[in-house]
Amino acid sequence: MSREKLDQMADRERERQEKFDRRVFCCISTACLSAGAGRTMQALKDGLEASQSGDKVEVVQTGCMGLCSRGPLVRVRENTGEETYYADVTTELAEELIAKYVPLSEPKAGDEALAPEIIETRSRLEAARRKRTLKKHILSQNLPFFTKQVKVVLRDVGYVDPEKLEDYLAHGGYQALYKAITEMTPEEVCDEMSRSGLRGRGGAGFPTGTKWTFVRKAESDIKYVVVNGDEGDPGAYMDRTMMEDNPHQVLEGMMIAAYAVGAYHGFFYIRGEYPIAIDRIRRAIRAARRAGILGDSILGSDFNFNADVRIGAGAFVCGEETALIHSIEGKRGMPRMRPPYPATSGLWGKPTVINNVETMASVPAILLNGADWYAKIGTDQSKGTKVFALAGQLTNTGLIEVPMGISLREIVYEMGDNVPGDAEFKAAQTGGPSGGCIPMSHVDTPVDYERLKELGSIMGSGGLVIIDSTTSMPQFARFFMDFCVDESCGKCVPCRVGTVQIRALLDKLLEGRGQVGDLERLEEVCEIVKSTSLCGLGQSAPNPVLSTLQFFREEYEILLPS
Amino acid sequence: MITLTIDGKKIQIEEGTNVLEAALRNGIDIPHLCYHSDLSVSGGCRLCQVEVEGYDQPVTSCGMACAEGLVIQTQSERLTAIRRNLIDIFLADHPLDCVTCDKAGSCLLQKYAYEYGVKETSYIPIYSKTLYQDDNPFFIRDHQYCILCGRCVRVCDEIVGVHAIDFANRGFESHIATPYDGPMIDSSCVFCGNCVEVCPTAALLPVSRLKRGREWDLERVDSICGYCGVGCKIEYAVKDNEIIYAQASVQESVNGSFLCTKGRYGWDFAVNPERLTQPMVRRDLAYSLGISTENWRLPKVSPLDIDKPDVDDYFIPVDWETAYEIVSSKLVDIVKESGPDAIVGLASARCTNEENYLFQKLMRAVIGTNNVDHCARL
Amino acid sequence: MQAFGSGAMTNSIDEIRDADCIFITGSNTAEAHPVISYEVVRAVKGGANLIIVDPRRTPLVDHATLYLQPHPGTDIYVFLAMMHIIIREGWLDEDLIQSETEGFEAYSEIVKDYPPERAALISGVPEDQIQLAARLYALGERAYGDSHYQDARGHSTILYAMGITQRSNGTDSVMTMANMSMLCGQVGKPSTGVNPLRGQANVQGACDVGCLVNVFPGYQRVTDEKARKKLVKTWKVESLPAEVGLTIVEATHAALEGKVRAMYIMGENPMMSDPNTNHVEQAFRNLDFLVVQDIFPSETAFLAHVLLPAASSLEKDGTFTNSERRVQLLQGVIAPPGEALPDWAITSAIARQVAIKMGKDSASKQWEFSGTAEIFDELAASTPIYGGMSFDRLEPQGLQWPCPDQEHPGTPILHVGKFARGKGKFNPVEARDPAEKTDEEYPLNLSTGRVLYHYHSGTMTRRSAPLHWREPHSYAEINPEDAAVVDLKDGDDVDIHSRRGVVHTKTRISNDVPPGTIFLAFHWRESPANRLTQDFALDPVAKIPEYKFSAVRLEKPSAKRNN
Repeated sequence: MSREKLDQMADRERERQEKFDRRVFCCISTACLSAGAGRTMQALKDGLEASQSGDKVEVVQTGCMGLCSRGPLVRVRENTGEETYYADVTTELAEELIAKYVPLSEPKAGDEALAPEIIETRSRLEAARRKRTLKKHILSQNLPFFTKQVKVVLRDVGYVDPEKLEDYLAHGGYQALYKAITEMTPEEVCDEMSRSGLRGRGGAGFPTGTKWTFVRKAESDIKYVVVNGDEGDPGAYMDRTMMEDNPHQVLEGMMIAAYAVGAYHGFFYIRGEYPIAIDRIRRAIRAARRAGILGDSILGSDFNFNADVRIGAGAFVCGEETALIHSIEGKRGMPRMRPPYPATSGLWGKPTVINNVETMASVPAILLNGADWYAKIGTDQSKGTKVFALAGQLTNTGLIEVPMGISLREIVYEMGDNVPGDAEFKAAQTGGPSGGCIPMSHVDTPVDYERLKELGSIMGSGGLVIIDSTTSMPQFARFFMDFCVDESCGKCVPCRVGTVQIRALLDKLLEGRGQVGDLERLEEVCEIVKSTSLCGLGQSAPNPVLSTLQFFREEYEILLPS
Repeated sequence: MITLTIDGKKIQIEEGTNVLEAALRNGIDIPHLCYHSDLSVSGGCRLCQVEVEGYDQPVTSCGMACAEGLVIQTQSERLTAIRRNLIDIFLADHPLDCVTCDKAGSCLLQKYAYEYGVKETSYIPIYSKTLYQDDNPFFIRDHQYCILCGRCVRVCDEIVGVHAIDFANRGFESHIATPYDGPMIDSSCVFCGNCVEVCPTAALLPVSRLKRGREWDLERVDSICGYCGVGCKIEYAVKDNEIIYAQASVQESVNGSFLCTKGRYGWDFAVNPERLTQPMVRRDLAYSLGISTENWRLPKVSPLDIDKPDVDDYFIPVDWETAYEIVSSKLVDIVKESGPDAIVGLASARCTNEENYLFQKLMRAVIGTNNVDHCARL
Repeated sequence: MQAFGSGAMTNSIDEIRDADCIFITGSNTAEAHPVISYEVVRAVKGGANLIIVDPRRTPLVDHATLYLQPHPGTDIYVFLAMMHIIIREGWLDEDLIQSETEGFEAYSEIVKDYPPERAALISGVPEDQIQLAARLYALGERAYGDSHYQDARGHSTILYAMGITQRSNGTDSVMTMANMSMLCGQVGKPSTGVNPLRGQANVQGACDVGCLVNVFPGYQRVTDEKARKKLVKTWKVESLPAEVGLTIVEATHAALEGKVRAMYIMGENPMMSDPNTNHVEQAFRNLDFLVVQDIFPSETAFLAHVLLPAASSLEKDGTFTNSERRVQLLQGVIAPPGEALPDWAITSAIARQVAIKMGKDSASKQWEFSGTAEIFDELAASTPIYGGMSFDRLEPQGLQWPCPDQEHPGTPILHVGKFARGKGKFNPVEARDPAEKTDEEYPLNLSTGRVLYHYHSGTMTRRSAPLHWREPHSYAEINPEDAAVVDLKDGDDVDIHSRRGVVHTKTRISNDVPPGTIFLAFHWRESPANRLTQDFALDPVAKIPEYKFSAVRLEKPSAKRNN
């Protein structure tokens, strides 16, 4: 497809959208769906149909709007740009919403032409017009939860219909790809990424531009690009959201990466527990292929690229890049030693770029707005924004995108609106089972790669679990050890046997069989596992224990005989 | 070629060799359980860590490529501590019943526990596996001794090429399994026993050696396999004139560390009771020579059509002198009557060069015919 | 070998792992030579290409990058077409052809008549596959990874076995392999060459030391007067026979005619291993005297007049020569049972007595040996290619012949720089079809061979408990299409009829054999495959029977037989 046709598609969609007086967006992402957004969406659609005003108002299914704890979420956007958010939108509320925002037009052929159920809905809408409950559900956009966010990755999430390529195009989709392949050399693309300071959002924080440059320079006729969508940290769902809610953005980032390194085939590796993400990515690939965005001679250039989806089978360790490679190759997902790094010997021994979903999703905006624009966001070492999944004991939980360097305090007390009830904030866990706990005493820590590391935790992929004063930290640590024991691949002995030993020691303490010296022993075993394990999973498996021992040692000490 | 220094010794080695291999080839033993020179690198046992100049942390030597100028130390206090810790962890999931174990003496875990003075585990012994599988007459699989080094999996895939086994389950539940843990015979296993050969512990043992003597009781004899023409060198473990088991004799051989099913397990024919143990003369010939009084005739039925033909029904035993006398006189009589070309000798592709040499010399130089052939073509 | 000047593996086994392209034909390597198949698997896992040409799908095909499945007996068309393409595309090694070979002109004329279209039509192998095979082999292309060698042309090796030799045109096929390797310069370098895989522990040695009808030890022709004169001296005899002797199959015919009256068989079981068993049995029954020297009462033993108990290879010292010409030392592992003796001791005792009875008392003195080392020294003195060997030098890893003198290190690779016979010779070979034809009565084609767990006539392996456990019964591999014609299911009883006899066995329905072909191993005395094979059409040069083609038909056994 040519650039002109692409622009035509985008323009047509934009014109179509502008014809409406207002558009009603309903989140159908996993969190809202589980809160009943499917029914809400249906009620909105039914109401719109009954109103006979489909030419004035459009109901759109979109992705996540962020405040997942208050779902189903609905947003009304006026043609003027004015927006109103509604939380906890039940089906009754949906009818009230339709009644408020959609004029009840007279049917063209008269009432008698309408189906009985539509007549019934119309009478319900009439009644709903008199209700006044809707107001209570308005979410102020002045809440810190919204105002503190800086949206780069999630910019269009919640606005675009994830199943509609045209909508993505209307939001400027694939412009970055077009810019890359027509105006930039692969080298320039890599340099732009380097200058932007973007670092791997999977957790390790390796500079993306450097990684791409390695692969670009690697000599091989075949190279691969892999998007790591095997998000597995308990409570984390940033990548799922991106794949479910704006799949084309991830695909576009992947294609830019492919262009930059010289790959003509790529894989999305998505965990099998994410059926909607798998479905949406597959739809996106098919739509892009039909539109000539994916395939041979992309957008009229001589760049060829194709992408495919590979589904994980439920192993946490497959998020580790070498295990992921094995899994795609059809082998058991077990990590191997590095070097060689995938950049030199990856998928089927070929140079391979593996980037996390969020990293890929950051790419189009960086290319369009420029590296300098991106580098202005965040801190010295950690540029840009980071998406976090706020979970645990917090009033507002959900998905946020914040600039790097924001303090934990702002996230917990302002955006999260503190822990609910009488309890108090105690600690925040970052980095999932591989991460650590940051206690109240460090709540003013700026959240970036370096500071978190200094505190014995890691940035991780973006899971942020808030723990309140009612939680026992040894219990908490045991939960995560259990997770690590289950998810160890079994290849190296420190992780396979060591984690079981750590868990056994925790059990001994928690069951009241603790002895003097057990804590020192626990630390010793944790250190051995940490220092001798083969891959990142094993090396970080003891972190929850070590970090709770560091900051909450007294909670362990009371488990010992006095 | 690359030059590096290991323990103060300058070593020249081909590019692409890993540090562990370079050390082993130069007589420097770095402890290792999962590494095997003929197999791909795993890195799972973590034992082979070494100190590398310029690196803060110890490096796994099997996973490190030799590079020009590397300076390696294979022994240090820190490394000893690490290795002790690792052996200690291994022993937390490995029964310490060396006193009755068939592998004692050649078990690598035992060797390293001894070398590093790890008498027992400091951990709470928790055994992950108890499965004992004796579903075939070639080898047993005793999972409690398995340390999951994965050598068996790799040899089966990378050398034998059948991939009959792999890791199943995850983490502490991991074990080596055939598809769906089915019996060996239902898998793609070819019973070559190379997995048994590379197993460092008692997890895989030949059935023939169970409770039949320990390493130090067994005498070792190297010989050449008597089956196909590859000429594999086999080390037979022998006790009281009985073969206890066979394994590849890695030293300077065509086959390196590997054998096939016939070479490794097919030696028990030698002690089959049907073996010929004395010279014998057919009953009709014996009668005509006056050795026997029974007037017997060779049955018309083909020996192939008799279910289990009994040699004693056809022959009577004689001593060697008698046998030689009969054979030589018969041959000489026929040469005298019909000339040397009335005699044909068939030598054997299963006999030695010396024997075949003598055989053809007998036919040519003594009897005087070139009628000597063997089944080279069959 | 007529092409290069010697007949053995040109290269060593451990070079296979470093090859860039491996071409296997007529060898079920994974079952008949498993340890060599390990080398192949290693090469493939490292990125080498593996081409297999075989009508039967052997286990190693799982690892092949290219599998060509010609109709039985038509592989020669594929080989000729490959060479046709190589010449046409200019993939040949002109330098080598110019300087080191002869006969290229005549040969290339013949190859012109075998374009790939013709091969495709006859063999059923698609043209593009033949083209690809030709390119991969000729240029030694890898599938991936870096070559072990720095040459512009990758190294390709040919492995073959009885699948191409046990045919009425076996010699032609072997010469074709030699032609192909010379054509592409894939010879005389590591990981190249033409490599027949020998099926028995010491078949190479038995040939080397002269257990063939036309040559003395070291392949010195019996018809060569110089060779005879030399040996007359070494062996201290008056004369040596100058006429080529009778091969096994010829001897069997002669025995039936009464021309051969006695046979001395050492460690062989022709009743199982020779073609047309019924014929063989009649011949043996017709003998005046049959001596069988063996470790077990074999099927042949039951027709013998005298049985001599021998020690097995586990019970004696000596040397074996393997497929790569490596002479290696045996050591006795256990003692022989009862009164059994090593074959050399028995043969020498017989020789002494025969010599005395023939009035050659002095000759009998030459048959006193202190042990195998002494015999080997005499052997080495009589066998030029073993000339520099002695037991001391065979420790620890043996020596590869030729090793003409005591300083010679042995020869891992033959024809380096120069062919053994001087110039390598291109032998013009035309395609020929199998001798026995199928017809309405015998519509199928039987091929015999081996299975992994058994060896040759089964005398040893069928008496090994674990091996017997794994493969206890005989079976015939039959394609589902052929099975359906006679309504046979997997595991059914079946009778296989040929023009020579009937064999009863069970079916194993398998797509590994193509329609029209039956595979039956010859290890099973209950189902002696060689009752079906023919002994009339031997290869004119090597006298090999055509075990890979016998016309047969399948029948369901009659109810009476089942009862």
